[in-house]
Formats: sequence, C-alpha cells, structure tokens
Amino acid sequence: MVIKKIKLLLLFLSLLIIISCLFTLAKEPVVKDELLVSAASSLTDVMVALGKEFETLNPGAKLIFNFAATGALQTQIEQGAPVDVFAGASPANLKVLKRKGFLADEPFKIMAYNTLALVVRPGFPVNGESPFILLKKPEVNRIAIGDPAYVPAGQYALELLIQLKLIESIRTKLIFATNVREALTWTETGEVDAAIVYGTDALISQKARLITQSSPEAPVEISYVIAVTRQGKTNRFGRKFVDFVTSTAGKKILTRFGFLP
Amino acid sequence: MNGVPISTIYAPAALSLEIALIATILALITGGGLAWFFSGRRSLIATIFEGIITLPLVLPPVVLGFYLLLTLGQTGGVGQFITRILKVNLIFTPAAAVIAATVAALPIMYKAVKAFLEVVDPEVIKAAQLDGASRFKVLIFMEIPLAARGVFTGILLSFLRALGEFGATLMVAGNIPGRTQTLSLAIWGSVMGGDLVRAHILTAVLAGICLLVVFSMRFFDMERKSSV
Repeated sequence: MVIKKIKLLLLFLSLLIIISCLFTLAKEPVVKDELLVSAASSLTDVMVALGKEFETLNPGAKLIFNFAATGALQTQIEQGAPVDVFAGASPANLKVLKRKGFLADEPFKIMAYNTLALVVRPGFPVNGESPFILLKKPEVNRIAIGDPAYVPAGQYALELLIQLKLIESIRTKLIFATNVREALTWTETGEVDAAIVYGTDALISQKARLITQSSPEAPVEISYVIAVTRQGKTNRFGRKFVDFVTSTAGKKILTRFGFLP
Repeated sequence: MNGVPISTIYAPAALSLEIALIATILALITGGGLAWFFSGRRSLIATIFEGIITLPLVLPPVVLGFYLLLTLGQTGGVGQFITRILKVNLIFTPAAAVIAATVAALPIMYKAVKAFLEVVDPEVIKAAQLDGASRFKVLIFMEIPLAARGVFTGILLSFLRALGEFGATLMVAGNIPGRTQTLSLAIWGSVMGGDLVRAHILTAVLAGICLLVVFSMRFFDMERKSSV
C-alpha cells in the first residue's frame, strides 16, 4: 500500500514538473521594447546586419527575427502571431494583409530590389555571358524554378519566361522547387542544367555559374516590401526600424548584400 | 562566414534537447495511456480513434503545423481559451514547439507501446483477474513489465522524432534565433542563408545526439539480455 502511495506521489510530482516546465516555456516571446520582425528567408543575412546596426544606433532596442517563407509568415500573422514588422519578398502578400486589416494604416514601403539570375550547373558547356534564350538549347534538359504556386521567386521566374516568350518552348523542362535555395542547390549538384534564382543567391553560390541577370526594373520588377503591423504600431521602435531600413544608411547595408536600392 | 560563434550552436542544441525531452514525456503519458486504453479493442469507434491518432504520421509536417496554427492561434478555439485563462499567446513560444513535437511523436509512441501490449496474452490477464487482481494491478505488475520494451522503443523513437521535428514547429513556434530556433530549424536557416559551415556543424551535433541515443538503446538491450 505504501509503495502504491509513493508511486502515485511520484506520478503527481512528475506531472507538476512538466506543467511548470510548460509554463516557463510559454512565457511571451517578446518582452517590452523588443521588436519582433518577421522576414523572408532570402533576407536572413542582411536583416541580421540591419538589426545589429539599428541596435547600436538606438540604445535599448532589441530586435528578434523570425525567418520563413513569405507565405508562411503571412499565415502566421493572420493567425495572431505577435509580429511587429513584416518584411516580405513580394508585395502581393502584404496587399492581402493590408486588405484584411493586419497592417498599420500607412502605405508599405519598398526596401530593396532584387534581380533574377540565370545560373547553370558546373561544367555546363557555355562560354561567357548568354541571355535567357540559352534555356531553349537542347543541351538544357531540366530547368529549376521555385514553385510558382507559393514561392515568390518562382512566380517572378514564370513571369519572366512569359514576358520573354520562352515559356511555351521550355514548359516541359521546368522542375519546381519548394524554395529558391533548393533550385540553386540542384544546380550546384548538377541535378538540373539551369535554374532561375535571385541575383543575391547567385552571388553567394560558389559552384553554380552565373550566366546572366535581368535588369532590376524590366521585364519583371522584384521588390522587397516592409511594413509595420497593426500590433507593431504600439511599439516605439516599429516605425523607427522601417524608417532605418529605407534610409540611406539602411540602403548601404542592403547594397553590401547584393540587393539593389 | 569565417568563425561560427559557439552560442549559435549551443543555443539551438540546448533548446532542441529541452523541447524533445518534454515532448517525449508528454507523448509517453498521452500515447502510452491511449495505447493501454485501446489495446485489444476492436470496435468501429476504437478503429476511427486510432486512425485520428495516426494522422500526424501521414500528414506532411507543414500541413500538421498549419492546422496546429489554426487551433492554437488567436482565431482558434484552443488558442483563445489559453489566452483567456493564462494570458499568454502560445504562437512563437517554445511551448508551441513542445506541442508540435508532442503531436508529431504521439503516433510513434502509441504504435510502439500498443504493439508490445498486444503481445501480452489476454488469457494470462484473464487468469490474473480471476485470481482477484484489479485492472490497475494487472497494469502495474503484468502489462507494464511485459510492455517495458515497447515503452522503451517508443521513448527513443519519439525522442528522435521530436528532435527532428521541423515543419510543424516552423509554423507554430516560428524560426526565431535564440528563442524558438531548434537544431532542425537552425540547419535549415543556415542552408537558406548560405552559411554552410554552420549547417555542417549543427548537423554534426544533431547526428551526435542521434548516435548517442541509438547506442544507449544497444546498451540497454545488452543489459536486459544479461539480466534475463
């Protein structure tokens, strides 16, 4: 009987420990004066650099980042995630949030532009620069782009192929990646012959060869947008951070990471 | 690029271990309990319940995360209830990661424990009950010792599944370095950011933990064999 009681007591104690553990873990992710910034994963490095600089300029400010695909970040905000600032890879997602009332009452700002780059696998037979029409060549069997259904880079790539009137002839060669970095990795390992990725991705790749880049404005404009959310209005650093990113100092950092001001 | 700060390795590793540990204990209580309850039951309702418990095993983790987000978020019933009672928003907390990992590990724990429970001969249990043993006594002195192997296998597999959880965690807990970024999320983040050195180091840490678990399993097996 005593053993039974001890067993029950142990069970009760362990339950108590688990519940208290959960309580400590459930503490709010963001405390006062901390700014939670949700940013597209293609902005990871540059956002960390921007955040460091902002914290130096604004004593007391503490930035917390949440990195994921722009679409996932949008869903999180719609479900009440405590985000103060949203930096996305496509204005489309912010337009939806704006319409649903999740953003502060002010137009969101363009923080940077990116380009689309054509990269080919190591050892692909091409000399020097070549325009996107290269994709029509019979040597190119597989072309990777992000899945246009949900990857902004893929939507831009598809739009580019349509604008260049290449889409009909290469449609069967296309392979969709779940994110733009995956498309780049396939090119690096030779799974595909070519891929259309962001110019910033092509810059950091050591294996995939950059063949050509689209111009920042035409035929497809790729802009990164940043906005204060409805919740972020009450945070004294929300507005300030957006202003900093779009300032000359912010643009300088963005340029350093290959983005275009 | 050159030089990876130790804190960016240590923080996700410690968080991953903590989350996986708590998730395993929670999965053991819920999954083990459910397995015990459903073992030997063959009714239609039991089968339907079993199907629901198994769902996280077949759903893509991101889909699982999406539905968890709908449930735990501020538009979901559970999320609103928790916010009202505890005054916290679960989304973007390590607790949300624990819940995601628990749900992901639950079917594995359930299956492992149930498989071993059902090996126990029902005739033997009936005999014990005829001799006056209560349902509780049968559980403590017969089923649990006989199913210990299943529980142990369940614990290890659930722990590894919880450790590797990615998709659902990303949706409900976010990918916040130093707060909710687990090893799996940190590896993904490093690959996305092109920091392959850090990705390799983090992968080595994760692989090291897995090897440790697998070896401890082997050790346990040998202990058992020598004691029998």
